[in-house]
Amino acid sequence: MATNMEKDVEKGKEHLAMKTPQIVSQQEWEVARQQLLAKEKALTRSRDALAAARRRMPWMAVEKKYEFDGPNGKVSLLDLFEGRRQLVIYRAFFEPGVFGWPDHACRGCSLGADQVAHLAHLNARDTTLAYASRAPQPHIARLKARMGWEMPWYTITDSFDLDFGVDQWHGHNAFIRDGDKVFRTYLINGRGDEAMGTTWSYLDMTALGRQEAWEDSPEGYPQTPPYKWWNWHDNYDAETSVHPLWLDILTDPEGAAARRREADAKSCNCESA
Amino acid sequence: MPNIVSDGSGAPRIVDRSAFHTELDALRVREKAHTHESDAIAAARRRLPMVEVDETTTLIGPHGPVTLLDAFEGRRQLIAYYFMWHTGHPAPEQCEGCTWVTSQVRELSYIHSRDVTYATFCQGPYEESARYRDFMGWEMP
Repeated sequence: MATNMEKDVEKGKEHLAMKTPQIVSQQEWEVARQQLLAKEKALTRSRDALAAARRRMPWMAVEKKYEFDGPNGKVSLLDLFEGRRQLVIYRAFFEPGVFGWPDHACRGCSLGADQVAHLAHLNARDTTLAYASRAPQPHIARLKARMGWEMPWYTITDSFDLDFGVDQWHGHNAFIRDGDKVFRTYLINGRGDEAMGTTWSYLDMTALGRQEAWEDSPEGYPQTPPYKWWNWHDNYDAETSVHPLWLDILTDPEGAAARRREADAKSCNCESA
Repeated sequence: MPNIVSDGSGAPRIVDRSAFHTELDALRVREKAHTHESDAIAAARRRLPMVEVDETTTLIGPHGPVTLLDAFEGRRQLIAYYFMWHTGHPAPEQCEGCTWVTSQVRELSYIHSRDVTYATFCQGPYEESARYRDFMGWEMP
């Protein structure tokens, strides 16, 4: 039997049987691309405006005391925040009766889980992502190990899925807490879930957004300059203030590059001397 | 962090479930329009003309020099992300933005099944950037 790779190679050798677009020069292509780029930029801005509207949604107080099973026993909805300000919960279908059980979660939910970016960046904006399913914890632990997934994943034990519109279909609910009080702030489901997975997609659905100074947010919302808060996913804890070199690159990119080249040249001279 | 519920002038309204759903449904109309516009732009991308590229352009991979065509790994399409590599610099001085973007790239089996290869291209010696890739735990070529 041919392996996938072999099959792929065979396919690549075929000539395109479909109707293909015009083949043009680099210049002509650039003109066409610039026209489309204007639309791309408009879409990006409309996404920003949509996120700004989400930040102006009213909040729904969550009064009921929900209980989940976690790897270390019973936990409350508040515990799922892990001490952070915001929480996004994705309801994934993994339970008896779902195609793939008990070896796998639902295919669509699994595809979604495979898109989840490293959570250190989201966590650095005081936001936690968690998955929740009906499957008992031992099954969830096995699934996570098998698929290499690392997000926190809880077992729903009560009417949480029904109450938050994710009993029949998948969906992301966003929450914020004020001390011990929890509020629901948004719901994304249906094809909206396709766009989820990047750090930005999660932040853009939260009540506080990316928490960056350029954003159109209600007065008093926490905001810091863009880029400066970025770090390597394994370095957020180690570096609590902005690294001077990173600040240099952000404030004066060309100057920083020149200084870097200069330092390069110097180190070369040292070696040859 | 300021307490936006009790003292911020931008404090949100706290509403019950039915009022929340009314507002959610109103915003859903915009959400759907956005998704559809995104689909329309993707459709327009599929209608862009194409430029012929020299397939013999040389790249360095884990087993030495390969051509741009080889980078397709036999698949029909290739997405190449250009990573700004600073030759000779240690890991902490490599581009944070490119590092950020690359760390958002996850499981590739799905796009492979759609006959698309994802690869990272950069300048500088292969061994140097490959060491960074391995250090960061990335798996794309």
